[in-house]
Amino acid sequence: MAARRTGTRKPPPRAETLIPEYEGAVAALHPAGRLIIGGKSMGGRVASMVADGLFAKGAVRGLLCLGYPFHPPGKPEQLRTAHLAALAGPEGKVRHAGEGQCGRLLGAIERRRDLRDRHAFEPADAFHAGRIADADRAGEARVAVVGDGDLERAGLARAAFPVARLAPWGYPAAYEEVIAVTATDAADRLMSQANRGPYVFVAAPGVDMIAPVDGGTDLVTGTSFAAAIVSGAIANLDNVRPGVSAEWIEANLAATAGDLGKAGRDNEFGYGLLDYRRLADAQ
Amino acid sequence: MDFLFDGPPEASTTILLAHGAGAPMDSASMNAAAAALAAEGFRVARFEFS
Repeated sequence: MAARRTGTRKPPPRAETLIPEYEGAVAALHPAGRLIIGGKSMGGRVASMVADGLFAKGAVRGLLCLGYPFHPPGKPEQLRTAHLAALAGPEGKVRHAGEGQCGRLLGAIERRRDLRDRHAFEPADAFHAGRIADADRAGEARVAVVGDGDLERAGLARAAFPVARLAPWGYPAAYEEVIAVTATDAADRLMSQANRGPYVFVAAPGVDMIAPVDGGTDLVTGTSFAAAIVSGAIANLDNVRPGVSAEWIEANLAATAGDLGKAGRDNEFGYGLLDYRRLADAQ
Repeated sequence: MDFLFDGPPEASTTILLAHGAGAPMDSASMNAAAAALAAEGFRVARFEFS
């Protein structure tokens, strides 16, 4: 990333090539107490590749992957999890969603039923931080995977390495109270890395979007950006039609969306592409 | 190596976080994760791949 800050552009490096850098960071940090290694997306993947060796040396006690990229881009049928399932560790138990610690997470989302917070958010790291702290205090956290991917399908639920399962695949997008947004490109094709599932509700543009980055602009891609567009549409709607209920918005988001993919709602595009003009004019 | 620290220096557990592809260590999601973990009492150290 340092290269992008200095103005040069190149595709992201292969995760394997970053292993020495990650190990170098662990060596340079040498904290006095316990160390958990991890990162976001590709960063967490690199950490997962060095975790076993560092754990064996007693250098780390845990691994925290936020938004682990379970699938290579555009290849949802492939998984990048063989090494995760093989991670060695001491005895431990698999923690499933719905058990004690996840209860508070569910509670936090349950309290956010108001319109302002009803629209979509990406895997919300802030919601998970408390669970990580609980698991750390209980001495249970070793591998925590938050965000995308299917733990059951990846075989992680049976991994020898203790797994702190903070939330199952698709959460928090899959919570009933959440309007889950997927992303499309300029030709209305689904973003290749986007997760599919019964919780996908509506689509909005999210591929190669121009966004302010480091004082200039850059192209960004992600369901996060599509979610922001739906959030903005709902905010606009609240302005031009004050008083409409969250239920009305949800129903009409679905009714006015432009159908994409298979006819009707499907697990790729949900009800289809957001159509703000039709939504604002809906009766 | 330059680290970006959050949370109490005396914390018993430090979490080392690397960024995702195409995003800096101080992207919005990294800031949110670091702030949330720091608020739980962790010391968080972030670094950037070269």
